[in-house]
Amino acid sequence: MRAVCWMGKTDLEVQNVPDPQILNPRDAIVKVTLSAICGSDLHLYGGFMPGMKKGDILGHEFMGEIVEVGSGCRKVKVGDRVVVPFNIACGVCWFCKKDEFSLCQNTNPAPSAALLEATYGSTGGGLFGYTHLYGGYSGGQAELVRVPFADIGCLPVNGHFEEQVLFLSDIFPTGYMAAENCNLQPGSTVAVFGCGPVGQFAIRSAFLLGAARVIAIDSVSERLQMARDGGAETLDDSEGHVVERIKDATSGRGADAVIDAVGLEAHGHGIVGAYDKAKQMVRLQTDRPTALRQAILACRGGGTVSIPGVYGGLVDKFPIGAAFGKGLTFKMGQTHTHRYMRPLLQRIEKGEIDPSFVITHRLSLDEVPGAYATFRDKEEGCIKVVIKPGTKATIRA
Amino acid sequence: MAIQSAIQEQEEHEDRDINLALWERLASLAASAAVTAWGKSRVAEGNRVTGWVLMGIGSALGARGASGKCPVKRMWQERTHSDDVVEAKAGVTVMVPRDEVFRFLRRQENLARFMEHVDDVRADGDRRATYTLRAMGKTFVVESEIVEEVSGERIVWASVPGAEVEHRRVVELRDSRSGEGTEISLTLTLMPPASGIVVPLFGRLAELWTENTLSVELIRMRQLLETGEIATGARIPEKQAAKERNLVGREPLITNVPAVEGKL
Repeated sequence: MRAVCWMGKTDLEVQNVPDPQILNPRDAIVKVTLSAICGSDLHLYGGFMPGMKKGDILGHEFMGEIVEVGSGCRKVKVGDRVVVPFNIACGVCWFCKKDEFSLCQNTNPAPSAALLEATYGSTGGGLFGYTHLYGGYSGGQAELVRVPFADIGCLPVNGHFEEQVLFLSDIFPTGYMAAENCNLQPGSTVAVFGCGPVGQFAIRSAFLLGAARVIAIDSVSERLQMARDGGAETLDDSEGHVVERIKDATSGRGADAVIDAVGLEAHGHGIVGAYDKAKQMVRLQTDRPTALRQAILACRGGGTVSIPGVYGGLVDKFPIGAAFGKGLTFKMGQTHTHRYMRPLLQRIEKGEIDPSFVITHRLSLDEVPGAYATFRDKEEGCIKVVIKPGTKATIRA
Repeated sequence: MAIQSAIQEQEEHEDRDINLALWERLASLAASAAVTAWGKSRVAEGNRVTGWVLMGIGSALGARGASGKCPVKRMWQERTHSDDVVEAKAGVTVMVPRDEVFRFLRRQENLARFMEHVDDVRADGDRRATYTLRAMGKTFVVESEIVEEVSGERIVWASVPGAEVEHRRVVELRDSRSGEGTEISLTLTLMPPASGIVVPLFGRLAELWTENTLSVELIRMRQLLETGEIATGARIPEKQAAKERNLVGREPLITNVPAVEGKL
């Protein structure tokens, strides 16, 4: 089969690799019909996440058709059209039984799980196409994928849904959980830092969950426009003084909840931005927490900071004093995708939301390596790239 | 006379301190010349810090070769011939009833499915078994037997006297304090000379290495007991680690894993 392989920092190739095989009884093989590039894939592309090996297959947002099942599969069968969550869960461990699927203890292979237990204090579940810290599973930017625990991981979908349901694999549940973590009350105001795909779904999810106002912050005009299309008020980060402007817009108190949908590659401005980049370059910190600092400062006393943006290691100048002084609540973590897929599918089926609004580019597998740079640099109005492995032609949205 | 005796004693003492063979001393002197010359060239190029550091290293190598004494080698030799006992502990909680965990662990062949460095376990009667181990690039065949057993609570395995890798492994089980599942505690003790397998790693590092080994084993054990499978990130069988091969002559341990109804 053909697949997008990570060959080094900013070096991707489409290669012919052996087809995946059933290796465990509850595995299924999925023929990918649609895949996508996630903002968190850019952390791998840029070499910011440790644990990548040459030849690793990227991609964790995908859907397709089941073409083979293992002897232990009871629910899924050959021919099913399914969406696959980006995290792999066993369904029976202590965490899975509490619906905390991303913390599954049985899907990260032992050596990497032991490493995470030593460094983080606990392992998380395995992830498709996301480093050998999370199992080294081959990802979905490929023609075929081996899906472990397929009965737990695959959501069967109606035949006429395609692009509308693809993002149930990650960014829609991720944005939704970020909004749900805000503990929204009627009349709440939410500030969303970052209007990339997760930010866009956080905006719409906040409204679905009852927020009265959403203030969206970014510096890219088309992303701000998409946020406005979703009902948000917008602030252009490049004009500066973001925290003050959020406070001005909220009677001086700050937002009831703030979502950091930016994560470890935040682009700071001025001295602080340069400081963070310098410290990251010399490995004195692994992540750049510019947006997180602003989120803490822009949140009202007693409010909630929700973090769907990915952080991987250590940050510097984390304003813990401000967070403590204001009595903030922090909620964060990998999305418990399995928990949200079915209820969000029902919202799509009812017509409450059509997640395909976020797509700006539809590409073939061969075009993916170049699309990473386009996505990273926010060129051509790129917000979300969808991949059709079976196609050759480029179709711009 | 006393002075002569003292000088002779000093010379003998110094001779005892010499711990390098002739070829090692010559190699050290040759390396000294090369590194010192490299350092001089770096100084000449204007890179003074690197140059002086290299010349310092060259001088140390020269002194090592000339004297025949190497404190680093001595420390290594002392550690590798240590009488240290290495003991490590680790624990895990599994969502499986205690009796079921006990039954699984009591069957000696099951141990090879999750134990790190254990290629094979062949039962020899009810309590005795032959282990094939691989560690630090060597293969060992070790006889071991169950020396203590409290049903549902505790099993102690120990190597038989004279075994090449003398060790003791204690597993203790208790109902989880949260009321769900079983807490498993595992203690591994390596006695000399077996501890020499890991003590070259030095003190705490040896313990950490052994603890990591146990941690890996317990994670695999949890996966096997809870799901009947051992997780693998491989795409094709050729890339699977030996311990991850669930489908090669092995049936899933648990076939009645409950479905997660209402979610997926």
